Order: sequence, then structure tokens, then C-alpha cells
Amino acid sequence: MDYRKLAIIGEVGAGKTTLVSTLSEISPIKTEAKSSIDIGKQYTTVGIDYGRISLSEDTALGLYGVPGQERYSFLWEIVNKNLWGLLILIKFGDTPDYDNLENLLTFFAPSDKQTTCVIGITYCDTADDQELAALSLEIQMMLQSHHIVAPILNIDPGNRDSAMSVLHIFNAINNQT
Amino acid sequence: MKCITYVSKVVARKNSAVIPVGFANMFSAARKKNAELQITGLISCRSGYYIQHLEGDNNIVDQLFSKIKSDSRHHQVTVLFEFEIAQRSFPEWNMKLVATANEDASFLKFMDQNSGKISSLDNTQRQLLGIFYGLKSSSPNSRRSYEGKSLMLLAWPDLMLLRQSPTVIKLCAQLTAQPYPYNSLLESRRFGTQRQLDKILQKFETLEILSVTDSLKQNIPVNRVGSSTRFYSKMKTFLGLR
Repeated sequence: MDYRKLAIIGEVGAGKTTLVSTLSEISPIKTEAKSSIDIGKQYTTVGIDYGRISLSEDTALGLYGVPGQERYSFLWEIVNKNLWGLLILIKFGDTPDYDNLENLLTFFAPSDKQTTCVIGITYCDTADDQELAALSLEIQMMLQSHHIVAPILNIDPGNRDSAMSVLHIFNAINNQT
Repeated sequence: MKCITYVSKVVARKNSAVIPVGFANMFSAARKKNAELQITGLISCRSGYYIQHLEGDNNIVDQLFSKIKSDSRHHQVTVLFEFEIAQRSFPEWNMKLVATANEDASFLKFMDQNSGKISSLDNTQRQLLGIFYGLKSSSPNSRRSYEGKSLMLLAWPDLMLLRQSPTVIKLCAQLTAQPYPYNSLLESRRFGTQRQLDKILQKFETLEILSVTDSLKQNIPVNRVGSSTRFYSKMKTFLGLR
């Protein structure tokens, strides 16, 4: 079995669960629970959202939506092995939690491990080009401080074409000869 | 009316990473406020510094700048220019964000019109202005040849600025993981003619996101660990690429 893993990580409400649902061919195993604190939404993921894309009988891509909160870092351990790609989702609107993002980047270390990394800005349909450019500028400087060369894409996690564009980018970067 | 152009330092985080935290929200809020106050101007960020140009009613510009000076997100605020104006240099923009001020026609025009004022700047002011202006020329005559060089991206370009051209994305993907010989890019013909390829690479250089080094001894890049022809063949089918 040729099996690759795509980890999808990010802050609460960034769209990880939705993206896994959009891309997965199987009914994703969701592990959402009612949040006990105010995090801006009623349910949050407390485990891994697992989905799968079968490319043939013996080839598949696993999708692992991983909670971004550091208290779930034990789940990061499970996912962070032989990754095909690391997708970091950042929700447009609020200032990104850079402490959290830097923890994630330090842990997953895509530069050291040569893991292809893509940044997805989600829920940005009300933003104009200049606002998105401003957020990209912030994020790009964070990436550079971690020596990560990664594209920053606008993603609608619930839209199939948009979600597929993420796979296109990972494929284009990884499939180099 | 008056204008003020200043440079300030991006506040470093506790781990010393220089990230303009909250810049996007600050920018959005500033544009809305500036529209109400009829303030226009430009902002850019490079090498851990901001440059901002404000223009509008004298009192409003002064009040606004006073707030900026006391804003904890700006350090070492240094005024480069402050003078009365008869007309605006950025009339269309409540705050124009530019990736590279040195490539912005309106900014260059403003600088040309005020070249006399530049010559009277002190050394510190000149060094700060030099972060954004008077950089290495990217005019066609001074463009370098990439023959025999290896290329790698330092960062991906803002794809919105480059209109997400498939060729640009393919080229970025090729130059993301490891240095790649220019000659191999050219020979592959995947990125158009030499002129078309050079044009994209020159744009990358202008954006300061391209590393150009002497070619590696090993001229053929090594396949990435874990890649397999079979997997990517199936992935291509899944993605509808054939």
C-alpha cells in the first residue's frame, strides 16, 4: 500500500474539519465536542479529523485535520511522521495567534524535515486584495523567520474546486524531478 | 495641506522574530479611518521597517502622526519629509500597500519631485530611506544573465499580484524545495521561451524572493525523498491533469 499523509493544522475555526469533509471520499471521522470555553464557536475538534482519498486500490492520501491548540500536541506527534504535506490554515479577520503558529512550525519543522508546506487563508470572501496582501505580508515574514518557503493561498474550505487547488499545489511542489 | 513621510521599526517578538503582528488589522482600520479623514498615502514594509507617507489637512495629519508615534507597534519613528503640499501624490489611495516601494510609480514620482529634499537628509535618514528607495536598478539594461546559475525561491510571491498564472506557479513549485539549475529550466521548455522565463525570474528578483547562486556541481537535482513515479502518476489522474 502506497499511503501518504497530509496534515491540516491551524487555529480554532480556521476550517480544518470542513476542508477534510470537502476532500474526503469517506465520511470523515469527526471528533468535535462542545467547547467548555468561549472560542467563538460552539464545537471544536478535540481529536483528529480523518479523511481519505483513494487514488487506486493500493494508493491513498490520508487527510489529518489536527487541532491547533498546544494542549493537543500529543496528537501532533501521531501525525508528524512521513508527511506528504503540511497545510496550515489561518482564518482571515483576526490577528493570527503567532505564539501558537510558531509553536506549530517549531514542532512540525517543515524546513528541517523538508516537508512541503502550504498556508491557506480561509473565510476571506469579504476581504479585498490589499487587505489580503497585508495579511500575507505578516505571514510571509513569520515563514521567513522559520526559513520556510511556502505559498499562501486563499481557500474556501467548503468549496470542492478551492480545496482541490490545495492538492494541485502540493502535487506541483512535491512532484519535481 | 501637508505631508509626512516617516520610517519606523517593526517591533520584534520576544523570540526576536521580526513579524509585523497585527499589520493586516492595523491596515484595514487605517484605511477606513483615513477615508473619513480624507487622508491619503502609501505604506510598505521591508527588512523589518515600515515606510509610510501621509497627506491631508495639516491638523489631521499632525494628529494622526502623533498617534502613530505613541503606538507601541512602531519603534524608532524617524521623519524623513514633512512639508506643505498643494496637491496630493497618492490621491486615489486612502493607504496604498506596496510590496516594493522602489517599484511603485507614484512613490518614484514623489521621490523625483522631491530630490532636493533627499539631498538634505542626514546620514541616518538616508540609510532609512535607502531601505526602500534607490535600490539596485532592475531596468532591462542592468539585468543579469542566469546562464550557469542555480536558482531557488526565498519566499513565494503574492500570487494575487502575479494573477496566479499556471506557469508562475509551476516555476515556483520547481524552485521551492532546492536550488535548480537555470539551464535545466530553460531546456525543459516548461516555462516558455528564454525571454518569458527571464521575465518571470526578473520579477522574482525585483520582489527580492529569488536566490541566485553559482551552479551546483551536481547539475541534475535529486528527486525528493519519498517521491514515487507511481504515486504521482495516480495523483495526476485524480487531479485531472491528464
